[in-house]
Amino acid sequence: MIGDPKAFARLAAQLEAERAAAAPMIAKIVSEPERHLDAPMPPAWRTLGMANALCDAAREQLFHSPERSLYVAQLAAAIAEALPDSYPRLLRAQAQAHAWKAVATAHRFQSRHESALRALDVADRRIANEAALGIDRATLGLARATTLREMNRLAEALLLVDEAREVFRHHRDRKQVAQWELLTGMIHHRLGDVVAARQAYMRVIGPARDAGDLHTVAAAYNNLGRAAADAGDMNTSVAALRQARAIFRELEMTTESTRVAWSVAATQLAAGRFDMAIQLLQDVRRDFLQLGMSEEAGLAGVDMIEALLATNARTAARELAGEVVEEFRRAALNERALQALSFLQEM
Amino acid sequence: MVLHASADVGTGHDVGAIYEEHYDLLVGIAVSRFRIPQADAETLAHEVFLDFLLRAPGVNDQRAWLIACICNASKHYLRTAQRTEPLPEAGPDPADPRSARAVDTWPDELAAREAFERPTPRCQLALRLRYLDGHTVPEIADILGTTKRYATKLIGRCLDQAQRRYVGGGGK
Repeated sequence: MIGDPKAFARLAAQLEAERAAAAPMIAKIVSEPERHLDAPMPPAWRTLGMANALCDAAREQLFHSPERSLYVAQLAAAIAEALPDSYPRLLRAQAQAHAWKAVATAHRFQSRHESALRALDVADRRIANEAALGIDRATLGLARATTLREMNRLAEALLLVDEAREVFRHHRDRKQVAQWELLTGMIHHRLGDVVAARQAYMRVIGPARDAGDLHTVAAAYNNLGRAAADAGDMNTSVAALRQARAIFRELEMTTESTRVAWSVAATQLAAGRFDMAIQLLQDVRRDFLQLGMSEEAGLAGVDMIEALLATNARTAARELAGEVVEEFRRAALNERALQALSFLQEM
Repeated sequence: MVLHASADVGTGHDVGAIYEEHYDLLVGIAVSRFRIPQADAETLAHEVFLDFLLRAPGVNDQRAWLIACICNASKHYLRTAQRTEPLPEAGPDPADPRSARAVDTWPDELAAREAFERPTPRCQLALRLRYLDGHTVPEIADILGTTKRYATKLIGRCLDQAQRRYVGGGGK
């Protein structure tokens, strides 16, 4: 138990020292994380600073290689689970929950939604009895809601975001409130309420920018671009997507830049510029496949089939549909995409 | 997670000073507003500061954050307390049935925990999920992002590895 201000300050200094000691090792670990998962764990790695630094590294890797992110997150989880008892119980539980959340996010980026939910179950259990970690529970709730939204389980997702909202507001956590707004907008968007979605995305931009969270700002612009295109407002769509692309490029987030490229292609499709859409979607699909994001690649394929059908390239559309269905089946991906493709295959 | 734990949390305040400045306030809120016993309120306040330690750089309004955190923690404490039955005022004081075999099970559990710290990180995760958390093999395959067949093999191999290293005292 940390029972006085001096002990508290000593612990803070210790954590900072651990973080500094971990920093030079992280780049080496991230370059080949799978090898480190199968090698003995050096005792010097069993620090909270190392576990937390690896969680951060896993998050960064999401935007370059979700597969590598998963290995880094698993390494973080192994370290967090093996932390010595000399750390306060609460910090160990918190580190474990954060590491399992990183595992869940890496699964989600690879469209393994059931795996993501299971990893979040582990994270939830680690902090279930920690009264002081309410904001961590809310953050895990938001991560679960994000996953459920992608699985089209929208009612469950909405319940969870409502629960999380109060906690973030009470804590005056602008970054989390902005992320909550973003997710709420995405759920409304999926429900087909484009007006509510656009309003929510607009509410994200200011607070996220104030909190210095450029990733969320760019995500909001990207989604706003898509929602505006869905509403037929092409000028707003193009302007928003330009903003999103510029920020993601600045942040060097490959996966997210590809998502924006997909949004641009979708806008071209909605505007009836089919040849341009096909050209863009080819690149998007290739990039998603290279990044191991099979579901996104498949869904971009669905858009491309739509464009091919619009240009009367039925043979190419049928061939692509078969190819994409097979990819979805191999990856055991969601029913929504399979249904969409089955429908297209009948055409 | 952002961890910039530091004696100076980047806002011009020493964490020790923030602790001293707010500690009584947080304990007071837990005791007066939520009727939490003094000793438990102090524990909650300490835990709130531990959480703050890691989050301090991202916190805009420290006082509001700390108050929100102690309120949430107090509510969680009360919810948990509501689920526990108080002991009868008089009469026998039966032991928790879960502890009946504690003398037999604790050494095994401690040995298992120590053994599970010796193999590779991947094996540590697989063994913990299987034997400490009680997940099934298909669940472990899901969590680790692999096939059921590979997870089965992995667990068998990891058990051997843990046993060898535990008996041999190496690998740590």
